[in-house]
Amino acid sequence: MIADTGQSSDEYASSLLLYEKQKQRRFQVKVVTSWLALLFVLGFMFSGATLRFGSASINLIHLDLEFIGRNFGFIAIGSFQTIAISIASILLAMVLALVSALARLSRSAVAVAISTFYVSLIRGTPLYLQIIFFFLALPQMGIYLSGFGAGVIALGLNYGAYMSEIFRAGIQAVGKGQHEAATALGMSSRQKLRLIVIPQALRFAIPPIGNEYIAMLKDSSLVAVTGFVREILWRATKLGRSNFRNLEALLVAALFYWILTLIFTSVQNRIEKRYSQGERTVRTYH
Amino acid sequence: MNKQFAGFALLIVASLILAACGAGGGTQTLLEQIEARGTMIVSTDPNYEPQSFLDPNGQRAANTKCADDQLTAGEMVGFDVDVAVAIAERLGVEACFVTPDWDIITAGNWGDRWDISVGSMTITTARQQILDFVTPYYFTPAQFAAAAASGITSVEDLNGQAVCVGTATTYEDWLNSVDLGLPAESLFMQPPSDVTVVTLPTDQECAQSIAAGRTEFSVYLTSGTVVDSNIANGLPVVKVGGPAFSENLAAAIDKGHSLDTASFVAAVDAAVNAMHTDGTLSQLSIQWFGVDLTQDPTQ
Repeated sequence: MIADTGQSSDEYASSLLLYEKQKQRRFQVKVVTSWLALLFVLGFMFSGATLRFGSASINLIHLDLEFIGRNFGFIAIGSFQTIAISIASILLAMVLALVSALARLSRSAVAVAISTFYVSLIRGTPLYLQIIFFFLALPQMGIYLSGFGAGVIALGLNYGAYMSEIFRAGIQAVGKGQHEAATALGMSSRQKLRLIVIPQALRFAIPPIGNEYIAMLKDSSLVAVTGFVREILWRATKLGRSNFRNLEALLVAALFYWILTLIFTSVQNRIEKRYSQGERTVRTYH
Repeated sequence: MNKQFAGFALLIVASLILAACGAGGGTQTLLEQIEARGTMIVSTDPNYEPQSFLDPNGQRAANTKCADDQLTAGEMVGFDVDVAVAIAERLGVEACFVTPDWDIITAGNWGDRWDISVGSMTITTARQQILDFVTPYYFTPAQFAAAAASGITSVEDLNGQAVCVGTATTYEDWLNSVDLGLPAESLFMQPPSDVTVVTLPTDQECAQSIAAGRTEFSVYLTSGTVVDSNIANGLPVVKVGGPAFSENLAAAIDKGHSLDTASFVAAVDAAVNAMHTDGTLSQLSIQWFGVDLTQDPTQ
């Protein structure tokens, strides 16, 4: 082979690499153009046009663009609240999830009980009720949380319970050999946890955490029931109802949620890359 | 590990106890607290034009005393909003608005989160158990309406129909034959006996479902002012029959408030009475509804 083309083995290797790179490029271009085509089809569905096929005709969805234009900015401002609630809540959730997962895996019966009780109680009750509880029930004990604060605590506790299982799976996925090697190096159990187990567990946990975060972005709209938080969906439903334009208003909200999701997906990809540095992974085209 | 965990648990318990102690107050009344604060926190449900809705281009009032997570009068519009502002003015304070869901407002036990509801709430026996009502500030007729294309034009046509109402509204209770405690002269008809009640989050979803072409129901029951606004906005609906009953709409104050509310209730009641006498309410009603709805129709 090598002799046939008259190339040196170095040249051959670099041409192979170049070919791989081009193949990857072409693949990405195809993905992007297909995305644009799908976006166009989606947009066309809301154009209000009438499609005729001989005698049959299909009406596409008609939107009041004037209403959308007039209220776009007002709904957009809600993004700040949505982002603030979601980020504060996911940080709280990660701390709670890690503590709860470690407690669940500890040798203390009380710690295991507290952790499983927490996960069971929170996963077994609706998020809506948890928000109302922190907002309207705690004042009877003299604890006054703001609407934002009650929402963050309820969302953080709720997602912490779900994510506790993610962290547990991540910690358990760290190989036994890693523990043994760390012990052989003379690490204390605390060092082992901090330097060996948690960094690797986090790497396993990042994709599912990203997933939870994206779900939380949308669940954050529940906090608006308190009456003190005016995020994207709240603004959209109020304007939609009083102007009889629910569909238009909700579509604007949907657009913002989608954009936020796209942004955070790309952030997640970056974090994922960072944590898997030095890891051999299966080669993929993106 | 075990020790750390116990420490963590202790920390949580300790912070809860501290928070509980920190919130203990003096023996102020609610009115004194409102005057000291300089603001009256009003709950309103901005789903309804012309009673209460948001102004997308509204500006937050300058030098407002309202907290950051409360809306100011500049960001809200409507009849209820103007009434709330006028009451606050008479108490010498600023009106600030919060917007919890309607069923949370009517459920009472507000946890001291807001001082008063000025949200077109009907006085009913059940609500009087948990809320104090002041003198009604206006009166609206409950009105059946139907999809224009349904052919339903009279009360007799309602038999056998599905009727849509907003959740936790008087319309839902009335259709389910719950005793609202309205005076007999306010009830203009008996609820139709064989209708199916469909409950949606607010009255506005009923009209919009019909406009969107859904056919689960063709009839809805809501305030006459809401039907007028639906028709004015071009929704394909018509009124069916005359008013079903008349509602006395009033401001409400939580009986479960941790402070003494008696002087506040009295002050708001006096303010509303004064606004009836000096014509403020009539003028606002004509401005927002085109008619004077502030006179009791049963008198």
